[in-house]
Amino acid sequence: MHIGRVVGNIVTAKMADGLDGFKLLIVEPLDHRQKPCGTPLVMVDKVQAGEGDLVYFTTGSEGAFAFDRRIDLLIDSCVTGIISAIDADNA
Amino acid sequence: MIICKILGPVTAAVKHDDYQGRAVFAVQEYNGGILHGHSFLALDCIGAGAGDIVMVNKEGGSSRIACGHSEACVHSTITALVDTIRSKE
Repeated sequence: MHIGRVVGNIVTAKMADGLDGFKLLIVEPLDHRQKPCGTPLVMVDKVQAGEGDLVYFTTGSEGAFAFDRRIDLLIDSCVTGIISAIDADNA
Repeated sequence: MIICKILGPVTAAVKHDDYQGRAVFAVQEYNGGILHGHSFLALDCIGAGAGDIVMVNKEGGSSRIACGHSEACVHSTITALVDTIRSKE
C-alpha cells in the first residue's frame, strides 16, 4: 500500500464490463513526507474520497478484493482509506 | 520478505473494513543502517512500533493471509520484529 493525493478524476465514454459503474480517481503517489514519488495512477474509489484528499491505496489484485472479494473485476488499484495524520515526517 | 524500518503510524478516519482495528505504518527498506528507495505502507500484524526494524511481506498471497483473510485488500504486512541481523553483505 502507498500514500497518495487525489488530483482529479476520469469520466470514460466506454468501459469494459469489469469496470462498469465505478468512480475513477487520479491519484499521485507520495512518500511519508508527502513528496511526489511516482507517476499519477487511475484507481477505483471505495471510501468516497474527493479531490485534494490525502489517501492510502492498494495495488495489484488486492485492489479488486476491496469489493466483496470479487475476482471478475478489472481493477488493479483501489483507494482504501482517507488519511487524517502521518506521524513519520522526522524519520 | 524484506527488512524495513518503521517510520511512523499513518492514521485514517475513513478506511476499508480489512484495516479496522489494525495499525498502518509508513515503512522503508533498511540495509546496513541506511534507508533505501521510497517509503510505502504496511499493515501491522505483530504489535510493532515506530522506529522498530521489522520484516515485511511486500506483496502476494502470504501478506494477505498474514492479516487473517486470504482475499483481504492488503498488499504489504509487517510479519516479524527483527532482533539481530548477521550478514556478510
